[in-house]
Amino acid sequence: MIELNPLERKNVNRLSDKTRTLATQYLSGQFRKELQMPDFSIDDLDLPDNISPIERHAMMAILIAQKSPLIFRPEEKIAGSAPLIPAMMHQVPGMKGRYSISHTTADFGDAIRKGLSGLERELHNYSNETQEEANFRNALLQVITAMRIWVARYVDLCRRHSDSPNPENIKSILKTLQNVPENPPSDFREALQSFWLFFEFQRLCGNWSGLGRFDQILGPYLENDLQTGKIQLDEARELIAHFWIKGTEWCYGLRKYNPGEPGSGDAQHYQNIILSGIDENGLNIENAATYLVLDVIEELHISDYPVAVRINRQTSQKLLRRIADVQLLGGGIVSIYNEDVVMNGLRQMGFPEKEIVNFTNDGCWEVIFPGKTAFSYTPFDLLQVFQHALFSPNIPESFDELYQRYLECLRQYVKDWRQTVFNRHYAESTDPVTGKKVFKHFDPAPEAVLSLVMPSCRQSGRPYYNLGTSYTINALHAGGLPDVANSLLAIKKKIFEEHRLPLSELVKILKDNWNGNELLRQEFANSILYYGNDDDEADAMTKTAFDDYAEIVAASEPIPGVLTPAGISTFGREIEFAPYRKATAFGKYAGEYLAPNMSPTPGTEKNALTAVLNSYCKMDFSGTPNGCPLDLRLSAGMRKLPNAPDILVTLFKAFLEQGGFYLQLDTVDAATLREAQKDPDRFPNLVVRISGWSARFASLSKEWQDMIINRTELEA
Amino acid sequence: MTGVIFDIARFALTDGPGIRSVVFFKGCPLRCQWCHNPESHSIKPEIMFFKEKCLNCGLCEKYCACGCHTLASRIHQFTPNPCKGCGQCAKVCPTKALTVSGQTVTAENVIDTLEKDSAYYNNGGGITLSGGEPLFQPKFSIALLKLAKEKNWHTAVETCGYANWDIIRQILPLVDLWLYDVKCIAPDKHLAFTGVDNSIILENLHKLNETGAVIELRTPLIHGVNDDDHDILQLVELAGKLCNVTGIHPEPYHPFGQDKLIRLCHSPQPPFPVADDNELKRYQNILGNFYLA
Repeated sequence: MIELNPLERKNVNRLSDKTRTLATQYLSGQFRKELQMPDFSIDDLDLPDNISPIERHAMMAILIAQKSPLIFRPEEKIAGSAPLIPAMMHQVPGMKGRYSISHTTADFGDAIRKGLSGLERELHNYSNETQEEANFRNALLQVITAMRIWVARYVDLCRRHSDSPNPENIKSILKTLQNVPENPPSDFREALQSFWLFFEFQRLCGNWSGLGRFDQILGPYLENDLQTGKIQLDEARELIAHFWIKGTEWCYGLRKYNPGEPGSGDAQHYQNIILSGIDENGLNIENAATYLVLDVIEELHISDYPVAVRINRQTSQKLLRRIADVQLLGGGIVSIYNEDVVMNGLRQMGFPEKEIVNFTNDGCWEVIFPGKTAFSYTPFDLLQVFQHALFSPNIPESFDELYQRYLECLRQYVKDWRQTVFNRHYAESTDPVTGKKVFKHFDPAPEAVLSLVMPSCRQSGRPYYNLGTSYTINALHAGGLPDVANSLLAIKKKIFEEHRLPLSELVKILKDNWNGNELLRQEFANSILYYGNDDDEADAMTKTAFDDYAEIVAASEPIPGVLTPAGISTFGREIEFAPYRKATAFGKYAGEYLAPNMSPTPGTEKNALTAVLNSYCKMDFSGTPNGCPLDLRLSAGMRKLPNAPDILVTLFKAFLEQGGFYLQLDTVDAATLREAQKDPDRFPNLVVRISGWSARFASLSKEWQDMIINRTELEA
Repeated sequence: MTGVIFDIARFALTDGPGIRSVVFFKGCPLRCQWCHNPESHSIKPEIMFFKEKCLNCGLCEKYCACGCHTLASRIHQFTPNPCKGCGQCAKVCPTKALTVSGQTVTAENVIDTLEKDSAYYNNGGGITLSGGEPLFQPKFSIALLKLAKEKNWHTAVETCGYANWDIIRQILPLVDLWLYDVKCIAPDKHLAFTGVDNSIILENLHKLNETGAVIELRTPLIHGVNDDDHDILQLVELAGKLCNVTGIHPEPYHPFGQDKLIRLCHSPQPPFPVADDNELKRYQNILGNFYLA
């Protein structure tokens, strides 16, 4: 039996034993063994050659709905499963090797409120202006048919289970399925089931959408039911717990039994959830659903869905306290946005006010609008761009010359990137009649299923990838910005101010990985305070590098219909970047794991945690509207302090007051991690924050575990 | 106005309520055998030597005017005896194996550093003067506390109480919370283990209580010295008599001071035993309602 949180001291026990047992079964990877390869394929359909790709995909959805295995456990309070191996691999079952859509968040609130019948009416009400639009909307109608078929099969299955040991539960589910997802829900239970079915069907078809503003969507139903006495809090908590538990159906459990799986964790499907934040009337959303979600995370310690809470100066003390409670249990499952700062960045990008209040996220912290954004991003290593400039044949004679050369390299990189993005969306040719650039129908991902839950696509009559959503965003995310700033600072001070040695000498030494120059390396590493120490000079250098990066991306030539905002993130890629990085002037060897996200380079922060937060908050985040996170780790001993939640609340408030963007906190100590590495069976559900997601430590590969241990130790 | 400090700790969570910055004063009239900050004893600057970081490069030897550093047989030896604490060696040491404990700073300098974390002092946090002994540098303490009060920060002073009452009386209006150390009640033990008589300390405590100041007692509990039931009960009895004492915060012995003695190249004291969980529970039980976590 899995201990849900091995570090938990408090005995949180609000959920029923049955539900807790179900959670441990799911988390052990037991049900993952029931996943199957589809015994059907698109070829079975024998479709005519002239059918449009989007309709072809819709027919595939129908086949999936008809043929996918159904899994139903009588003790589960929500019906619907996605037991196909390709879906878990991000592929469309039955369409071999075809990747589906992720990195976006659909508008499930809209889908639930309308129901399949409402969506169907809406689609019929649009007048199609072209054959393409007709094909597209026809495809969406087919997806509605597919969902009806799939749900009807569950109704059948439930009926066959009616003599199971849990007849009351089956009866409730059957009653729920008689109304949803076909119609608007009449209560919380139906709304939750409908949410699950819309979410799960796109998942079954291989898409990995985020879920969006969970409490905004479900809160009104729940509050209403609580008021009329239709449901009690305990029952509602159980239902939400089942929603969380079922979200882990693809977990494989301990890595030692699954050596072939990806190394970054067993549950990482970008299923982001947002809590709280203001609504379109400017009022904070804080309802029973907000708190029940936090209850469930606190008790079950399930890390996927990653949850981010939008906080602002009006966020209640009660909610801040609850977030603190959950964060103190470790694992970093709940992170926070400073929504005023996020919205300010969006405002400056020109988004209308009514959109801005609705922001959600994708994958990690990338800011998007649910149901309205086709999103992708390009991660790159800014340190490699800098090192390209530093290690070029002509040695710069002044600091300014070096810096300008670096900026030139960066401009060139951004220009090339912009061209790549342009090419993804537009053909090189021009229309012979109009002279306009021709819209390129690049081989589209199978996008009918997800387009159904994107209101902007339904309205525009165009699919997700072909500018059907209101916004198509390709964000550029730079990794290693603190490492660039530290390199610059070291060179400026040691080479051009103190004249310790000529830059040409240093370049040679760095190329040779500090070999034979240990004293000098120590001096460069220790005699300067770098980013993250609240040192004005270091932070000013970082701010210059930050602002120039943001400005260069913002000045990039616009691509019609495609937005290209900047962000600063590594998403854990400091592992991937390491082999390509040479030694740095601030005393790191080639190939070391350097700064994660906008956090200090491990080992360079010699001051308190508040100093790290202060350094970070000096940046102007309106330049990085797509996201710029800070990772903070508190020592695990902090949990023992009686006033620990108050301390965290104070940190949140300072983070708000000083204008931070996104904060992820974990409480962990290296000793526990080492034990967990040695003996995974003792800590099967020990969750750690990785980057934009949390994962079970025991499901990480050794490489990822070592990175986490390394950075935790360097901070101690 | 200048003073001598050996550290400013930011994000301190155990020296008063909330998030605090703590100024550690250098110089102390007591010589407690269990002291975990032995670098605070002397008011003079001292060199601390972190042997494990030393690369035996010899730069310190080259720059030292007093001949404290030698590299006989290529191994760096540090003898603090003729050291004047000029800090040249620490300045040139590439690995920071040598650091100076003790800087002369102005009150304004200190406040500038404290200011950096003022956003965190809301919700009950603030600043704490600790040490060493803040009352050992009374003018500097007053200067700092005045500036802090101008900024409306919550102020705490952690003291052993071994000072002229007059000094305490002057500081009194500037302090929101007194973290008052009472090491033990029995006078003979106090003298034997701290080097001073405790009658002034207890007298000052009573007077302080009469002024209405908010006081939290802090007691290092050292096994075999002052942690038997009788010792702790005497503390409880004292606290019971003082209406403005909010409670007693036990500070179980930890041996970190040993490491620091080695870094200072002083001979280490024989360590005391570290209390286990059962002992901690016993402390808590005896302290009863007066126990402060």
